[in-house]
Amino acid sequence: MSEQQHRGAVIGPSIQIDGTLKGDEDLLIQGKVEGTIELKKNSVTVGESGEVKADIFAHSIVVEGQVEGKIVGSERLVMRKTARVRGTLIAPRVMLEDGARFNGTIDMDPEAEAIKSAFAGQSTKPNPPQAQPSTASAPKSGSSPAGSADRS
Amino acid sequence: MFEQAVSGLDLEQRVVVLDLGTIRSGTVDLFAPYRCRLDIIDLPNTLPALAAMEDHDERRACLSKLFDAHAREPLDLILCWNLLNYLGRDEIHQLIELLAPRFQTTTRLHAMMEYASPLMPATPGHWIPDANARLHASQVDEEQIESPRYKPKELERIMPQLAPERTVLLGNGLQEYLFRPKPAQS
Repeated sequence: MSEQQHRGAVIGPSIQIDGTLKGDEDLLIQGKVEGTIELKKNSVTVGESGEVKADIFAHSIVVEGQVEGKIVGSERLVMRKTARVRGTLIAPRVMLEDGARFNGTIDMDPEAEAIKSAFAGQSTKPNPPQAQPSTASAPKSGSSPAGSADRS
Repeated sequence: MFEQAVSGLDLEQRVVVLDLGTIRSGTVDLFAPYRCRLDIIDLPNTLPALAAMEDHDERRACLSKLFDAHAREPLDLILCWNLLNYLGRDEIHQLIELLAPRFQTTTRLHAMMEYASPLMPATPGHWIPDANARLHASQVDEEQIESPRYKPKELERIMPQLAPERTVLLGNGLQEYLFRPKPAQS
Protein backbone atom coordinates (compact mmCIF):
# COMPACT_ATOMS: atom_id res chain seq x y z
CA MET A 1 0.00 0.00 0.00
CA SER A 2 1.39 3.41 -0.94
CA GLU A 3 1.37 6.34 1.46
CA GLN A 4 -0.95 8.19 -0.96
CA GLN A 5 -3.54 5.40 -0.74
CA HIS A 6 -3.38 5.23 3.03
CA ARG A 7 -5.63 7.31 5.27
CA GLY A 8 -4.10 7.60 8.71
CA ALA A 9 -0.69 7.86 10.28
CA VAL A 10 2.42 6.85 8.37
CA ILE A 11 5.81 5.83 9.67
CA GLY A 12 8.06 6.57 6.73
CA PRO A 13 10.92 4.40 5.45
CA SER A 14 13.63 6.46 7.15
CA ILE A 15 11.97 6.38 10.58
CA GLN A 16 12.99 3.95 13.32
CA ILE A 17 10.96 3.64 16.52
CA ASP A 18 11.78 1.67 19.66
CA GLY A 19 9.05 1.43 22.26
CA THR A 20 5.27 1.27 22.52
CA LEU A 21 2.98 2.74 19.86
CA LYS A 22 -0.63 3.49 20.84
CA GLY A 23 -3.35 5.48 19.16
CA ASP A 24 -6.79 5.80 17.65
CA GLU A 25 -6.13 5.98 13.93
CA ASP A 26 -5.02 3.60 11.23
CA LEU A 27 -1.28 3.19 10.79
CA LEU A 28 0.97 2.38 7.84
CA ILE A 29 4.51 1.32 8.74
CA GLN A 30 7.16 1.66 6.04
CA GLY A 31 10.03 2.12 8.50
CA LYS A 32 11.41 0.10 11.40
CA VAL A 33 9.58 -0.51 14.65
CA GLU A 34 10.68 -2.51 17.66
CA GLY A 35 8.55 -2.93 20.78
CA THR A 36 4.76 -3.06 20.97
CA ILE A 37 2.03 -1.66 18.70
CA GLU A 38 -1.44 -1.29 20.20
CA LEU A 39 -4.16 0.09 17.93
CA LYS A 40 -6.93 -2.18 19.07
CA LYS A 41 -9.75 -0.32 17.30
CA ASN A 42 -7.84 0.42 14.11
CA SER A 43 -5.90 -1.19 11.32
CA VAL A 44 -2.16 -1.60 11.04
CA THR A 45 -0.44 -2.15 7.70
CA VAL A 46 3.18 -3.17 7.57
CA GLY A 47 4.19 -1.94 4.12
CA GLU A 48 6.65 -3.64 1.79
CA SER A 49 9.59 -1.72 3.21
CA GLY A 50 8.38 -2.08 6.79
CA GLU A 51 10.49 -4.05 9.26
CA VAL A 52 8.76 -4.78 12.54
CA LYS A 53 10.09 -6.67 15.54
CA ALA A 54 7.15 -6.18 17.80
CA ASP A 55 3.93 -7.56 19.15
CA ILE A 56 1.04 -6.00 17.22
CA PHE A 57 -2.51 -5.72 18.57
CA ALA A 58 -5.03 -4.21 16.16
CA HIS A 59 -8.54 -4.58 14.77
CA SER A 60 -7.22 -5.65 11.38
CA ILE A 61 -3.66 -6.18 10.24
CA VAL A 62 -2.15 -6.35 6.75
CA VAL A 63 1.44 -7.50 6.31
CA GLU A 64 3.34 -6.75 3.11
CA GLY A 65 6.81 -6.51 4.67
CA GLN A 66 8.77 -8.22 7.43
CA VAL A 67 7.41 -8.95 10.89
CA GLU A 68 8.83 -10.92 13.78
CA GLY A 69 6.66 -11.24 16.87
CA LYS A 70 3.12 -11.91 17.99
CA ILE A 71 0.41 -10.44 15.75
CA VAL A 72 -3.07 -10.34 17.21
CA GLY A 73 -6.02 -9.10 15.13
CA SER A 74 -9.50 -9.02 16.62
CA GLU A 75 -11.13 -9.02 13.18
CA ARG A 76 -8.78 -10.24 10.46
CA LEU A 77 -5.22 -10.64 9.37
CA VAL A 78 -3.95 -10.56 5.80
CA MET A 79 -0.52 -11.70 4.62
CA ARG A 80 0.32 -10.43 1.15
CA LYS A 81 2.64 -12.36 -1.18
CA THR A 82 5.58 -10.14 -0.25
CA ALA A 83 5.18 -10.81 3.48
CA ARG A 84 8.02 -12.41 5.45
CA VAL A 85 6.74 -13.33 8.90
CA ARG A 86 8.10 -15.29 11.83
CA GLY A 87 6.06 -15.61 14.99
CA THR A 88 2.52 -16.20 16.17
CA LEU A 89 -0.53 -14.92 14.31
CA ILE A 90 -3.81 -14.87 16.18
CA ALA A 91 -7.03 -13.77 14.46
CA PRO A 92 -10.45 -15.28 13.79
CA ARG A 93 -10.00 -14.70 10.05
CA VAL A 94 -6.66 -15.15 8.32
CA MET A 95 -6.07 -14.62 4.61
CA LEU A 96 -2.82 -15.44 2.89
CA GLU A 97 -1.51 -14.87 -0.60
CA ASP A 98 0.68 -17.59 -2.08
CA GLY A 99 4.26 -16.42 -2.07
CA ALA A 100 4.15 -15.20 1.52
CA ARG A 101 6.82 -16.80 3.70
CA PHE A 102 5.90 -17.79 7.21
CA ASN A 103 7.33 -19.78 10.09
CA GLY A 104 5.38 -20.03 13.30
CA THR A 105 1.82 -20.51 14.44
CA ILE A 106 -1.49 -19.29 13.04
CA ASP A 107 -4.25 -19.51 15.61
CA MET A 108 -7.68 -19.07 14.02
CA ASP A 109 -9.61 -20.27 17.07
CA PRO A 110 -11.88 -17.40 18.16
CA GLU A 111 -12.07 -19.08 21.57
CA ALA A 112 -8.28 -18.96 21.96
CA GLU A 113 -7.30 -17.45 25.29
CA ALA A 114 -4.72 -15.13 23.72
CA ILE A 115 -7.26 -13.28 21.59
CA LYS A 116 -9.83 -13.15 24.39
CA SER A 117 -7.39 -11.64 26.83
CA ALA A 118 -5.92 -9.19 24.31
CA PHE A 119 -9.34 -7.82 23.37
CA ALA A 120 -11.28 -8.24 26.60
CA GLY A 121 -14.73 -6.68 26.21
CA GLN A 122 -14.68 -6.69 22.42
CA SER A 123 -16.44 -9.29 20.27
CA THR A 124 -14.03 -11.47 18.34
CA LYS A 125 -16.40 -14.22 17.25
CA PRO A 126 -16.63 -14.47 13.46
CA ASN A 127 -19.76 -15.32 11.57
CA PRO A 128 -20.33 -19.07 11.40
CA PRO A 129 -18.67 -20.69 8.40
CA GLN A 130 -20.86 -20.72 5.33
CA ALA A 131 -19.33 -23.83 3.89
CA GLN A 132 -17.52 -26.70 5.47
CA PRO A 133 -15.05 -28.98 3.76
CA SER A 134 -17.23 -31.44 1.95
CA THR A 135 -15.14 -34.33 3.18
CA ALA A 136 -17.61 -34.73 6.01
CA SER A 137 -20.34 -35.44 3.51
CA ALA A 138 -20.86 -38.34 1.18
CA PRO A 139 -17.68 -39.72 -0.37
CA LYS A 140 -16.91 -38.56 -3.87
CA SER A 141 -15.72 -40.76 -6.62
CA GLY A 142 -12.09 -40.33 -7.62
CA SER A 143 -11.29 -38.58 -4.40
CA SER A 144 -7.60 -39.34 -4.70
CA PRO A 145 -5.54 -37.95 -7.54
CA ALA A 146 -6.21 -39.69 -10.84
CA GLY A 147 -5.06 -43.23 -11.29
CA SER A 148 -4.76 -44.11 -7.62
CA ALA A 149 -5.21 -47.64 -6.40
CA ASP A 150 -6.05 -48.20 -2.75
CA ARG A 151 -3.82 -50.86 -1.33
CA SER A 152 -4.81 -50.52 2.32
CA MET B 1 -6.91 -40.31 1.92
CA PHE B 2 -6.23 -36.72 2.98
CA GLU B 3 -9.96 -36.11 2.77
CA GLN B 4 -10.44 -38.93 5.23
CA ALA B 5 -7.96 -37.38 7.66
CA VAL B 6 -9.62 -33.96 7.45
CA SER B 7 -13.14 -35.34 7.74
CA GLY B 8 -12.13 -36.88 11.07
CA LEU B 9 -11.59 -33.42 12.56
CA ASP B 10 -14.35 -31.91 14.68
CA LEU B 11 -15.58 -28.45 13.67
CA GLU B 12 -16.65 -27.74 17.25
CA GLN B 13 -13.40 -28.74 18.94
CA ARG B 14 -10.02 -27.04 18.80
CA VAL B 15 -7.75 -28.82 16.34
CA VAL B 16 -4.00 -28.51 16.01
CA VAL B 17 -2.41 -29.01 12.59
CA LEU B 18 1.32 -28.99 11.88
CA ASP B 19 2.35 -28.19 8.30
CA LEU B 20 5.96 -29.14 7.58
CA GLY B 21 5.85 -27.41 4.20
CA THR B 22 5.76 -23.91 2.84
CA ILE B 23 2.51 -22.21 3.79
CA ARG B 24 -0.07 -22.05 1.00
CA SER B 25 -3.36 -20.19 0.82
CA GLY B 26 -5.28 -23.43 0.24
CA THR B 27 -4.09 -24.85 3.55
CA VAL B 28 -5.12 -21.77 5.50
CA ASP B 29 -8.48 -21.63 3.74
CA LEU B 30 -9.15 -25.33 4.32
CA PHE B 31 -8.67 -25.11 8.07
CA ALA B 32 -10.17 -21.64 8.54
CA PRO B 33 -13.69 -22.98 9.33
CA TYR B 34 -12.23 -24.98 12.20
CA ARG B 35 -11.21 -23.75 15.61
CA CYS B 36 -7.71 -24.36 14.32
CA ARG B 37 -4.19 -23.73 15.43
CA LEU B 38 -1.94 -24.17 12.41
CA ASP B 39 1.77 -24.59 13.15
CA ILE B 40 4.04 -23.98 10.19
CA ILE B 41 7.63 -25.20 10.07
CA ASP B 42 8.85 -24.36 6.59
CA LEU B 43 11.28 -27.25 6.22
CA PRO B 44 11.52 -27.13 2.39
CA ASN B 45 13.09 -23.69 2.66
CA THR B 46 15.46 -25.01 5.33
CA LEU B 47 16.68 -27.93 3.22
CA PRO B 48 19.52 -26.03 1.47
CA ALA B 49 20.90 -24.93 4.85
CA LEU B 50 20.57 -28.46 6.22
CA ALA B 51 22.29 -29.93 3.17
CA ALA B 52 25.21 -27.54 3.60
CA MET B 53 25.84 -28.84 7.12
CA GLU B 54 28.27 -31.73 7.06
CA ASP B 55 28.22 -32.29 10.79
CA HIS B 56 25.41 -34.52 12.08
CA ASP B 57 25.16 -32.66 15.41
CA GLU B 58 24.92 -29.34 13.60
CA ARG B 59 21.99 -30.61 11.50
CA ARG B 60 20.35 -32.00 14.61
CA ALA B 61 20.73 -28.66 16.41
CA CYS B 62 19.26 -26.83 13.41
CA LEU B 63 16.18 -29.05 13.35
CA SER B 64 15.75 -28.91 17.13
CA LYS B 65 15.84 -25.11 17.03
CA LEU B 66 12.98 -25.04 14.52
CA PHE B 67 10.82 -27.21 16.75
CA ASP B 68 11.76 -25.56 20.04
CA ALA B 69 9.92 -22.43 18.95
CA HIS B 70 6.62 -24.26 18.95
CA ALA B 71 4.37 -24.97 21.87
CA ARG B 72 3.73 -28.46 23.09
CA GLU B 73 0.01 -28.62 22.32
CA PRO B 74 -0.89 -32.18 21.17
CA LEU B 75 -1.21 -32.57 17.42
CA ASP B 76 -4.25 -33.78 15.51
CA LEU B 77 -2.83 -33.76 12.00
CA ILE B 78 0.67 -33.46 10.52
CA LEU B 79 1.08 -32.50 6.85
CA CYS B 80 4.27 -33.95 5.44
CA TRP B 81 3.73 -33.71 1.71
CA ASN B 82 6.71 -34.81 -0.35
CA LEU B 83 9.16 -33.67 2.32
CA LEU B 84 10.51 -37.02 3.51
CA ASN B 85 11.93 -37.73 0.05
CA TYR B 86 14.37 -34.89 0.61
CA LEU B 87 15.56 -35.98 4.05
CA GLY B 88 18.11 -38.64 4.89
CA ARG B 89 17.32 -41.55 7.18
CA ASP B 90 18.90 -39.86 10.22
CA GLU B 91 17.02 -36.64 9.59
CA ILE B 92 13.68 -38.43 9.23
CA HIS B 93 14.37 -40.35 12.42
CA GLN B 94 15.24 -37.16 14.26
CA LEU B 95 12.25 -35.30 12.84
CA ILE B 96 9.82 -37.91 14.14
CA GLU B 97 11.67 -38.02 17.46
CA LEU B 98 11.12 -34.28 17.81
CA LEU B 99 7.43 -34.63 16.93
CA ALA B 100 6.70 -37.68 19.08
CA PRO B 101 6.15 -35.78 22.37
CA ARG B 102 3.16 -34.10 20.70
CA PHE B 103 1.56 -37.33 19.49
CA GLN B 104 -1.76 -38.49 20.89
CA THR B 105 -3.80 -41.55 19.93
CA THR B 106 -5.77 -39.54 17.38
CA THR B 107 -2.73 -37.91 15.72
CA ARG B 108 -2.34 -38.68 12.03
CA LEU B 109 0.62 -37.92 9.75
CA HIS B 110 -0.18 -37.58 6.06
CA ALA B 111 2.76 -38.02 3.69
CA MET B 112 3.51 -38.35 -0.01
CA MET B 113 6.56 -40.42 -0.98
CA GLU B 114 8.26 -41.19 -4.28
CA TYR B 115 7.81 -44.91 -4.85
CA ALA B 116 7.76 -46.04 -8.46
CA SER B 117 10.12 -43.59 -10.17
CA PRO B 118 13.90 -43.67 -9.64
CA LEU B 119 13.93 -39.91 -10.26
CA MET B 120 12.12 -37.03 -8.62
CA PRO B 121 12.07 -33.21 -8.91
CA ALA B 122 15.28 -31.65 -7.57
CA THR B 123 13.35 -29.52 -5.09
CA PRO B 124 10.11 -30.33 -3.25
CA GLY B 125 7.01 -29.24 -5.14
CA HIS B 126 4.03 -27.66 -3.44
CA TRP B 127 0.80 -29.46 -2.70
CA ILE B 128 -2.24 -27.25 -2.36
CA PRO B 129 -5.48 -28.53 -0.89
CA ASP B 130 -8.76 -27.28 -2.31
CA ALA B 131 -11.95 -26.66 -0.33
CA ASN B 132 -12.79 -30.37 -0.60
CA ALA B 133 -9.40 -31.40 0.83
CA ARG B 134 -8.26 -32.73 -2.52
CA LEU B 135 -4.57 -32.12 -3.12
CA HIS B 136 -3.19 -30.49 -6.25
CA ALA B 137 0.50 -30.40 -7.16
CA SER B 138 2.08 -27.14 -8.30
CA GLN B 139 5.49 -25.66 -9.08
CA VAL B 140 7.15 -28.95 -9.98
CA ASP B 141 10.89 -28.54 -10.57
CA GLU B 142 11.84 -29.79 -14.06
CA GLU B 143 15.36 -30.64 -12.92
CA GLN B 144 15.49 -34.16 -11.51
CA ILE B 145 17.57 -36.00 -8.95
CA GLU B 146 17.70 -39.59 -7.76
CA SER B 147 14.78 -40.61 -5.60
CA PRO B 148 15.46 -42.46 -2.31
CA ARG B 149 12.34 -44.61 -2.92
CA TYR B 150 11.92 -45.45 0.75
CA LYS B 151 9.98 -48.69 1.13
CA PRO B 152 7.17 -48.99 3.66
CA LYS B 153 9.12 -51.44 5.83
CA GLU B 154 12.14 -49.17 5.81
CA LEU B 155 10.02 -46.20 6.85
CA GLU B 156 8.66 -48.21 9.75
CA ARG B 157 12.22 -48.92 10.83
CA ILE B 158 13.27 -45.27 10.51
CA MET B 159 10.11 -44.03 12.23
CA PRO B 160 9.50 -46.62 14.97
CA GLN B 161 6.96 -44.34 16.69
CA LEU B 162 4.57 -44.57 13.71
CA ALA B 163 2.68 -47.28 11.85
CA PRO B 164 0.97 -46.90 8.48
CA GLU B 165 -2.80 -46.85 8.84
CA ARG B 166 -3.45 -46.65 5.10
CA THR B 167 -1.23 -46.58 2.03
CA VAL B 168 -2.25 -45.80 -1.51
CA LEU B 169 -0.14 -46.10 -4.64
CA LEU B 170 -1.10 -43.15 -6.82
CA GLY B 171 -1.18 -43.13 -10.59
CA ASN B 172 1.75 -40.70 -10.74
CA GLY B 173 4.02 -43.16 -8.93
CA LEU B 174 3.75 -41.50 -5.54
CA GLN B 175 2.85 -43.50 -2.47
CA GLU B 176 0.37 -41.76 -0.19
CA TYR B 177 0.55 -42.64 3.51
CA LEU B 178 -1.57 -41.99 6.55
CA PHE B 179 0.48 -42.85 9.63
CA ARG B 180 -0.77 -43.17 13.21
CA PRO B 181 1.26 -43.41 16.42
CA LYS B 182 1.97 -46.88 17.68
CA PRO B 183 0.12 -47.54 20.94
CA ALA B 184 3.26 -47.46 23.09
CA GLN B 185 4.00 -43.95 21.83
CA SER B 186 0.56 -42.44 22.28
